[in-house]
Amino acid sequence: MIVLFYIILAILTIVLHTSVADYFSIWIGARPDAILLTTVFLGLHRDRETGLIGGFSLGIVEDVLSGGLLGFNALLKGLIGHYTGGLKPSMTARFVVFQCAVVFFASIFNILFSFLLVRIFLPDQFLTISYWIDSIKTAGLNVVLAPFVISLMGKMEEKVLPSEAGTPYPERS
Amino acid sequence: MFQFLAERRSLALLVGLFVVCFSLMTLSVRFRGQSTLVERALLSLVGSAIQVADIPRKWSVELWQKYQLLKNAHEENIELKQKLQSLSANHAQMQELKLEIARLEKLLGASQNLEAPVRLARIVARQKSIYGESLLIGLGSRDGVRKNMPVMHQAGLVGRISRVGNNVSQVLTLLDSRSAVNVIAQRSRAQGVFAISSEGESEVRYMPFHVEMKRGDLLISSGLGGIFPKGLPVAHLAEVTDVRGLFPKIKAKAIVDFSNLEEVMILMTKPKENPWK
Repeated sequence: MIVLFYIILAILTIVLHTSVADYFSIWIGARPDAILLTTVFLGLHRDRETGLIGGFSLGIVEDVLSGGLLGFNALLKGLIGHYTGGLKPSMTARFVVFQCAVVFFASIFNILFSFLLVRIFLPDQFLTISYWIDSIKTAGLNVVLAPFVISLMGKMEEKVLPSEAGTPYPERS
Repeated sequence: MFQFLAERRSLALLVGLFVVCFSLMTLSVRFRGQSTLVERALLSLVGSAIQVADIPRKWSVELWQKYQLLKNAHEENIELKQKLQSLSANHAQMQELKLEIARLEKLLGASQNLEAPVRLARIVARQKSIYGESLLIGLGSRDGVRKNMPVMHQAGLVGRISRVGNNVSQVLTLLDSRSAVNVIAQRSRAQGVFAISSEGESEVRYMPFHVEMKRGDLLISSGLGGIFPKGLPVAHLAEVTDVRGLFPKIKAKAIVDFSNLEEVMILMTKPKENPWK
């Protein structure tokens, strides 16, 4: 049941990332990274392994859909899930500011590590200024949307799987 | 080995992540522009899932678009209704003007047979009193209107000016009991006075017995009294109801339909000198 829930969550995330996020693109020229938000949610609510596997799975789907470098986003999101899951969250993990801060640093990590990977694997690829501006806008959007998306996912998880999902923040309990 | 991996599962997964992702990226760079079987399979699988999951979004978007269309149609409907109302009002106004022109043309045609010049006047008010109905017209002394000027319609005599204001005048109609017109039966040339009886009915007084009278005989103004010119149609003879007494009792019906009057003509006659003065 819990696997089914995460599969549905993943599909919803991908739909959100590919279709719904386009509306933000119309408004402000950039769209939020729904996959990053879900990865952070998985890391914060579960553990390193769930974060890593979830991030990797969603990342590889993103790579396939984007037609870019296969494994690129899989590595980035996997690492974000892994490190987010390893934050050993205290009670403050439930707080909005903490979630925003985690998402902010995850977005910055995403940008910088992307740059590094591009330098390694595609050295002839030139990153334009608009790419950097869009990346910063995306980071901003992620930070703004993080509390809503993460709390919504948390509530969905509690409603659907009150017992099977176990206690969130296992390392704290 | 397995025990070590089980103990360090998290680290093993991280290393695995790096190995798998770096391998995939290396392969992807090497075979750039070509899609592998894994990519194609993943794309098909994820694409199908997205298509299914995207149905509610499409549905909601369509619903929103339909709502917007409906909203626009509603606003357009209100706007069109307002325009229609405005056009209806304009159309009614145009119809009114058309009818007015037709009436004025008739009045103008009738005025050409008259000796005195005429002024067209619009009826601005109607006043009912115990004596009957009087009219208020939109011409007064500044327009040259004077007391006792005859007031006409293309059908016949309406009455006379009884009071003159600066820019309005009062017309004493034939239906007012204070009004009396000396008339002649056009066919028999018998004379009488057209007036309103105490019962409020129009009648012809003082007509002699010996004259043959027929229903529908036209009564015209005799010209006596110096107010109304001779020959203006006044009434039709209706019936003789009582032959007892000195004069027969004769009912007559005014030619002009006073209920539908909107414009009248004022005969701008010159005041006659009183020979008895």
